Amino acid sequence: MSTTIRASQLASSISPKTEEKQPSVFDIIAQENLATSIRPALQHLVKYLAFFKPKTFLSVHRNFDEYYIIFDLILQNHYLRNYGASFTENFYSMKRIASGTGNPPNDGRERIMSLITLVGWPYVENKLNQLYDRLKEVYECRSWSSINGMKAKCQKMFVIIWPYIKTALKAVKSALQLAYILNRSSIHSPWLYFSGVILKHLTPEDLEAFNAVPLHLQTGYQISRGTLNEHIHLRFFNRIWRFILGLPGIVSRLFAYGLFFVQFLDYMYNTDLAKLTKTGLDGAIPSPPHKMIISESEILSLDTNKCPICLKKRVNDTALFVSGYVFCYTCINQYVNTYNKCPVTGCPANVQHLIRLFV
Amino acid sequence: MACRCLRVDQLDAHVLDSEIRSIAQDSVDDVVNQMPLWVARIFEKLRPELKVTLEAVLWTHRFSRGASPGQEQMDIAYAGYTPKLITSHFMVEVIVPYLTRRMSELSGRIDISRMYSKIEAIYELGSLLHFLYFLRSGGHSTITESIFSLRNWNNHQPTISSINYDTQNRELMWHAFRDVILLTYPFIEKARQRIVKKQKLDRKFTSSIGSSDIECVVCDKPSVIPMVGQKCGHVACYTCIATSRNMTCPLCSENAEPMEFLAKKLKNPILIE
Repeated sequence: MSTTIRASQLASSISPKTEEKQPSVFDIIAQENLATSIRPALQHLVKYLAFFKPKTFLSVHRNFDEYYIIFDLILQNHYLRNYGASFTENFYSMKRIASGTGNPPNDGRERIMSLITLVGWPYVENKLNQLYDRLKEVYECRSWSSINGMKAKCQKMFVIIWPYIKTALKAVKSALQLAYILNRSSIHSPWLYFSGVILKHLTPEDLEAFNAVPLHLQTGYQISRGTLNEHIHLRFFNRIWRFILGLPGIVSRLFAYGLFFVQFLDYMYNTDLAKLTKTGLDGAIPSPPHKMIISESEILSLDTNKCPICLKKRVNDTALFVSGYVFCYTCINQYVNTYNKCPVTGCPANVQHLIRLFV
Repeated sequence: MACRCLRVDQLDAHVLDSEIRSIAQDSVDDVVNQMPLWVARIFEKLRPELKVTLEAVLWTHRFSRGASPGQEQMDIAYAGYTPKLITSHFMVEVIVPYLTRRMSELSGRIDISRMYSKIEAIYELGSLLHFLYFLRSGGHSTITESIFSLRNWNNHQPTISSINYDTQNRELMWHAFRDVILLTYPFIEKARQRIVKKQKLDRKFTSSIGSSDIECVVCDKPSVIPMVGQKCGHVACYTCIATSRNMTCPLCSENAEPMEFLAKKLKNPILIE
């Protein structure tokens, strides 16, 4: 998947744009990859800040989903209103146009639907996934037989149905993507269909329109009234206002470059560079030295199928990996929960160190 | 058809075609992974058939557009690519390798498999020589193209069109990021190792630790049969330091501190009656 980014640059840099054709599937996958990079990158940044400044950023870290949806709404609304595309689509030189009219979705129903599919649905899907994981874990601890009441029945129904819904959505997306590759469909995702838009490449006229300065802010604009002093003041304020208007563009451009760097890092770590940094055990492991580990001679004199705790035949063999001895599961579980150490060697241990042996 | 196309365009078209194939295959695998286990097992058994079916679906692009998706991206196409020729090309390119491989697998006889491997190796060698000749002198880029006398032509006359600064900016940034990473990575890695080693030197085993994990200083996981330095107090797995041949502390390698089993340092436990 990471080589798709390189393929998108290969395809878009060489092919001539003599006519307005739909973007290549590589561009689309690359911009989707960039879109999925925003949220983990910001989450990692917030976690890092919360670690160093807990008083300021801990609440942001706890409610990251809500803060992120507000930020995403502002960002995508700005891009849809000014550039007619989402943030990542604009970065990869694409724009959205309404299916019926061919106009950019700056206003009206297409923009609202685009915001719902770009910002609202990922949030809802994330919440549903978290709910599914939580309910699945709850019903695995308890059994399904304790279901009573309407709410519990609804929860059980949700746990059963949600995986099928996800599979169906993924299948529809794959089918549309294949149809898009074969030029039999003008949309590559069901969310574009719901938004009522299709994707197109940016044209030079669009790029010139983005850089247009409002008429009354242009430097050479002639003022028919007022004195020279008033003229100088007006020009100064025009420059300040033009700078303020240009500031969101500058900030979003720098933000885009930062995310492109994140995408590049992801590409590097998924390819050959990661192999250089991996270290592993090499060489044969020699046999352990024959040293006396414990001084209790009665432990060593036991039969090999005896438990060192209850001194009976072992039931449900369980190894404690901090020492390697094998016990009954009930004996060692009780002992480790009580004393937090190995009964034979005394090494610190907890229930995470128990290894069930199914032989 | 304007003129014959460059070799680099043909190579790029092949790269794009293989990338599209992998994208389609990943999409199908992604859907199959979401399905129940018995469905996934059936699909795993029928993986070669699924692959051929997907290839056939992608080859329908040539019937409708006269070129493969990668060729269309590069604005090139074969001259005289008739539907009959497309069918023959598909048979030789996709069906024949599938049938020969499947028959050699299903027959179960070792000599047929060995003979098939030899034929495949000879074909690969021929393909490599043909490819080297193509890089040197041009002509057909694959053996099957030579068999069917297929040549790639540009659909339009190549021109110096308007410069796409957005794409060039992304390409320049990509290469700039790569150079920055390759330049600074050794220093970052050295600084990281120094910080990690300093942290590990401070991590010693003390008897006051009650229920916390004893982490190995080599593999950074809970210690399996922990060994502790007799003087320095660093903890490592038995298997991690056994590979160093002389059972010394990996952090205090200049002092050659000997290590012993952690169990020997602890007092005798009390058994439950």
